[in-house]
Amino acid sequence: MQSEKELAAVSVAAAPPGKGKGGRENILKKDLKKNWPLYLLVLPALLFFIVFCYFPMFGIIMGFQNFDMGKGFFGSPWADNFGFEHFIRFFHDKDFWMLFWNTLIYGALSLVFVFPAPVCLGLMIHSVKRPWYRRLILTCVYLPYFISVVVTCTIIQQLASDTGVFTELFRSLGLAGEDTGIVNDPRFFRWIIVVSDIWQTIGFNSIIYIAALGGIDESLYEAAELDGAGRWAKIWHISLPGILPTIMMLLIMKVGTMLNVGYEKLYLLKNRYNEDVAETISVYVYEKGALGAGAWSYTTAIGFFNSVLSFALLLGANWVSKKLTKSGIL
Amino acid sequence: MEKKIRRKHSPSNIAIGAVLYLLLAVAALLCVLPMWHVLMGSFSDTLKFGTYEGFLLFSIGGEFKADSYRYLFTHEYLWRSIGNAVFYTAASVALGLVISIMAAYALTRKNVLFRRLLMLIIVITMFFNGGLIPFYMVVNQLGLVDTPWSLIIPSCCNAINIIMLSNGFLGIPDAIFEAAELDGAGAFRTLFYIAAPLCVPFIVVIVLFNGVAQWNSWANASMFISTARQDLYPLQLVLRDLLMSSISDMGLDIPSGSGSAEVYAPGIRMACVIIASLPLLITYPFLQKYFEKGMIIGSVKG
Repeated sequence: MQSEKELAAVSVAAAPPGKGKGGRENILKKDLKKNWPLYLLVLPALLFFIVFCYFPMFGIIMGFQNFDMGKGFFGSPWADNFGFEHFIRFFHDKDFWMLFWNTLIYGALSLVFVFPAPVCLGLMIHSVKRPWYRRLILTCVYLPYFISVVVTCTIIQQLASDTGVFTELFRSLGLAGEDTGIVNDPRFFRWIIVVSDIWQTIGFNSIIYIAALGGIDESLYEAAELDGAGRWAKIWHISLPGILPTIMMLLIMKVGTMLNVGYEKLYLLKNRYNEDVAETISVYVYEKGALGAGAWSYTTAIGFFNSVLSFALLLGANWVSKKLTKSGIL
Repeated sequence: MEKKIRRKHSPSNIAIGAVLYLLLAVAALLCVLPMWHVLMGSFSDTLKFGTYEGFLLFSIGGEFKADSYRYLFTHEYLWRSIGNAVFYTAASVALGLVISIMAAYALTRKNVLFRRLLMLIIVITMFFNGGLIPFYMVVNQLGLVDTPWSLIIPSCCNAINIIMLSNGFLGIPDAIFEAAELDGAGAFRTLFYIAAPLCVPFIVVIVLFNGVAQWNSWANASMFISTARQDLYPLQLVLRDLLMSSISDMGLDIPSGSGSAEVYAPGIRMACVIIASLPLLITYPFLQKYFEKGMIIGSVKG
């Protein structure tokens, strides 16, 4: 604080960069001298990200070691097979293909059913012109988004258990057996996850599409109407192309995260009846690694495998999107 | 023009419109009904509720009963876990907000040499992370496991908040900062007396989103707090236990007259669901517009 103005004057004088030898060093010095309060302000955030984001990234080497809590990251011995022992063990595990397919299936179901749902809802809400009705609908459909995963799972358990309303409904349609609730039935379990995902996210995720639809020029619709375009023609030729960049952006991000779909929910609803269809790679890592101590290196390796796969999918989706629509996020 | 008018009011268009309104009404109902069902169930006689005598209203076929809540509140740590959840949420949101505001402000000032580099360091964390186990290891090595800090510090801050706040600070005209500088205000004073008050809408949105996320979170707590420290459990974890383990193991004071304690389980779970969602359900109607805004702000540069 002592001579703020003086320092400011100095820095203005130093503004043209690279004057002779040591110019770079000078600028650095002056920058630090003038801006130290700002760097001080960034410091806590920088520390936070280094400790809780970059340290764990570095910690991935655990997956290539036989990690020993007492010896830490630096003292632990490397795993066999040039460090890839845990990966090889996982690929040969009897559960590997089950986990792999379940992970892919949930990802694919989520992509095909959960992702397009808000687009449809957004289009529908956009064509409602009465403000009070729109408000009312939106208030209702947002609500599930703010309910916690544990609460959602408790509700699912409640509705789809042995005595639940949905089980009873399925029984009366002749679809479900008498002996158990549909949440325990491997035939229905995946669909319960998909439907509950749609239920929870459809309203909130439609906000972004409604906003994008609101940004489309009204005169386009008027012109189309004059040309005799009907409701569907307007949606197909104006609304959808108008929000296509938004859809593509969100789709790419969705592909990047699809392998981690709903692991909290799967873990909470998993039991011995449905575990064959409920266990994915993320659930496995959470259960074996985070809760059951001991298999740290092994589960780190599996988690890393999942991340690499996710990132490859993200890059792939981005590449396809760039080819098709000339827009991507990277 | 005539054609247009005719089109708008043609019978098929009116029919499509009616179907649309109806579909939306059904969707809206489907979103609200499960919660309503649980609310009614929590206030019903659990035994009768199980036989569908009170699906939608406790007044149909049953009377108002708060027994489920009575049993629930005999849980040894219930009050404590509510207090914990409030404390963890408040502390973590406050800490995260202060850290993010300071960083976002500094990174939007001009003439900061390492601005781009620092921003890049932060943005990268949106795309890469070390995964669950290394994250746990770091928290463990810091000695935070089984302390309240493990639920306050490690998840308090994220790149998206900083980006949102940066957008807020960038929206403030430069002239204001120049005036502040001429008046001799330093970085801290400018930030807390001038810049932050101008970004209140952004701050409200972030507080709301992080508040909901923290209140609802349970996965971190189940990793970082061992079963030996149930006194540190947040509410969601108590509900998790109610959901996943047998009610008779929870040490609740339930009358044992009519068979096993399990028959009361649905009612007790529903009561806990209502308690866990209560803060949200009460404030939701008032805060809805902020959530909407937040979604839009957050996605502009997501």
